Amino acid sequence: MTTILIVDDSATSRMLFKAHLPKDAGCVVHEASDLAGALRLAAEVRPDLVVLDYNMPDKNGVEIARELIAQGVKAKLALLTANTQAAVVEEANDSGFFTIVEKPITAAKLARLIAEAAA
Amino acid sequence: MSENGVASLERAFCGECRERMLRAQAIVEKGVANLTVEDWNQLYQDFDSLYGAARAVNLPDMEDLARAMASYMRFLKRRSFQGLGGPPGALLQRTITLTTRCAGAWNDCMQHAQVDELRSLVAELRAAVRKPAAG
Repeated sequence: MTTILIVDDSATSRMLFKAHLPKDAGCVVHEASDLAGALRLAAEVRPDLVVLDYNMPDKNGVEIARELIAQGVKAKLALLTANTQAAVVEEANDSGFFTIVEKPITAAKLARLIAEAAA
Repeated sequence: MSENGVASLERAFCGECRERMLRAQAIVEKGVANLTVEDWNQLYQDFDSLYGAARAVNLPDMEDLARAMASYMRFLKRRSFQGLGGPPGALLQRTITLTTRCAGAWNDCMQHAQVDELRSLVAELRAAVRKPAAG
């Protein structure tokens, strides 16, 4: 079973993420909307995969990822963003993300993400 | 996705819209001279997140409006704009008011005059980033 933590300040985006999860993938999803929630849940549920939205209110997804890593989180990290400018991609690559998923999320993208995270 | 699923997403989006616009309205009501960098950042954040959420639920007109306002916020911030007086403040208030109205009655909004008003506002915001900031 794959435990996923989705970190996105948009309730709509989190709902869409869950709606597109493959039904037979055996995933459990936890949600956080900010840095504090992400840190707390990551410590509690020890996710296999953390999916972070780039544009967040207090720190961006890359900054949150660095905090998670500093806290000792061992999950694979994926960045979810509508902004795939070179600077963002470089920042993500330098910060431990194994992939970047371009918004909007689709069922196909999510299935591929979960498969790649499990590999 | 099922019809129920789509309907649930649209309801979630409308709820998120209302929540973000309440916050934006509270910021604007502080007054021109009292806005801080954090206020600006919050305004930008809320519109940029709405853009992503509208895209997620396939609401292109709302996506255009939220994206145009987020771009406008970024444009004003780059010019160290100190407040919201004059045309920038008016554009922001109109966007908040229209978004709030649409969030309350989405189907009506998209079927009636509001959609023309929304598209007109998008055009104004896009034109505004091509001009020097006023005030």
